[in-house]
Amino acid sequence: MVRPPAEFVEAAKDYVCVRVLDMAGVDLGVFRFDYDLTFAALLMNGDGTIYRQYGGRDGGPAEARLSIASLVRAMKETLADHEEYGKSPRPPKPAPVRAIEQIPAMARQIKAGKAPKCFHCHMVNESERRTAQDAKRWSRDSIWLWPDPARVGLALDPADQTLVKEIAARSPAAAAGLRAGDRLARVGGRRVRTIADVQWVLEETPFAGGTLPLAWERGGEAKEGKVALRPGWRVGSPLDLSWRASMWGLSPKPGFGGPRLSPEDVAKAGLPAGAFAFRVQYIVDWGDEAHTGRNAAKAGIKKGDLVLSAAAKADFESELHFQAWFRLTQQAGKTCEIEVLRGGKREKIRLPVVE
Amino acid sequence: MSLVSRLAFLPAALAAGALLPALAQDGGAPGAFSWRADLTLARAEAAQSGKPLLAVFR
Repeated sequence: MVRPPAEFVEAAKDYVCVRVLDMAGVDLGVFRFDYDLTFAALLMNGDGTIYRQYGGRDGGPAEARLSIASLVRAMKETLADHEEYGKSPRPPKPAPVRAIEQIPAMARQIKAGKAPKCFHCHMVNESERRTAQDAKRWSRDSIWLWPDPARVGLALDPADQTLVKEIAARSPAAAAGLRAGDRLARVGGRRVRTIADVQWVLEETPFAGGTLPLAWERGGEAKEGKVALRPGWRVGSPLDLSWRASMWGLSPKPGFGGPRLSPEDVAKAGLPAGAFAFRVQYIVDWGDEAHTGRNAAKAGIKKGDLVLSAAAKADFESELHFQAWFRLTQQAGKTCEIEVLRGGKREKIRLPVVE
Repeated sequence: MSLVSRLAFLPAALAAGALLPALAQDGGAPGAFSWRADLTLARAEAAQSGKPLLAVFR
């Protein structure tokens, strides 16, 4: 059995540690984090004040930003925040508990006898989206949750999460004066100690843009600047969205999917090394989206097909990337040309795009 | 984010690979460490003890 490492156990002595595996009854007004994550941690006061967020990911590997060392570092550093807070506590105003069961779309689902056995974190976002769609107030802008620091041109070191690793040229962060090697201290006036802390500030920054003050250290010298965010700044790429469970609910959907081929299977199929391809393992024939599978089957998609490209695009990083790309770029009423390899022969299938 | 950036992050990703299983269990000798399972009780315990709360959601 894998045990928590000694350094975590030691740091945990200064904390009350709780692990939540089911969101049932969890007060969403207090415990706010990126609900699409499969792992998230809040370092907080018992009164409901959140000091730090820990977790987060981008379109890359799921655990690239997670490590025992960076979690322990955040836990140790947060003790100073906790002590400071204790000098003048500012508890959040009490508010009625709002749990996932109270989100209208989920409440209706429960009332219809379709309550999930376990309320997963990502169901919060899905329930909020369905509620907004039912009320005709949903906007595509709302899918860009917890923006990655890359949206402002900022890449932080996953192992030392306030250390600036890279600044994208001509980005808002570059214009603010940040450079690789700087140590980020405050964003939007809030002390940050983790990448997820930065995302937390960005999450609270409107789609319409604005100005975010930054503070950082360079060689022991304090620096300040401002990040200017233009309208629509939160919009990322399909790859940015690809890892989010909430991506699956967006339309239009291709109606089929399956696992990406391994390098060995790519070679066996006679494709060039590194080529993208996924094997159609399922065609949707269940639930409210069964019509998308029927549409794909009618167009000619078959289980076992190797999908090589869509609309001549073949540079997908994963099958999830393809799924997110389809949902974000294809328009109902048009067609998408899917290139497949079937029985060693390449074929092009014109897939009508349906909502 | 560029491919170069992703490759630069790879060592950290590999090092992090054990985080989820490592935190999935209670650890060490009995009584050495255990996760609380009730968020409301844990929050109250934190408020009463003066310790901060580490709430992990999985």
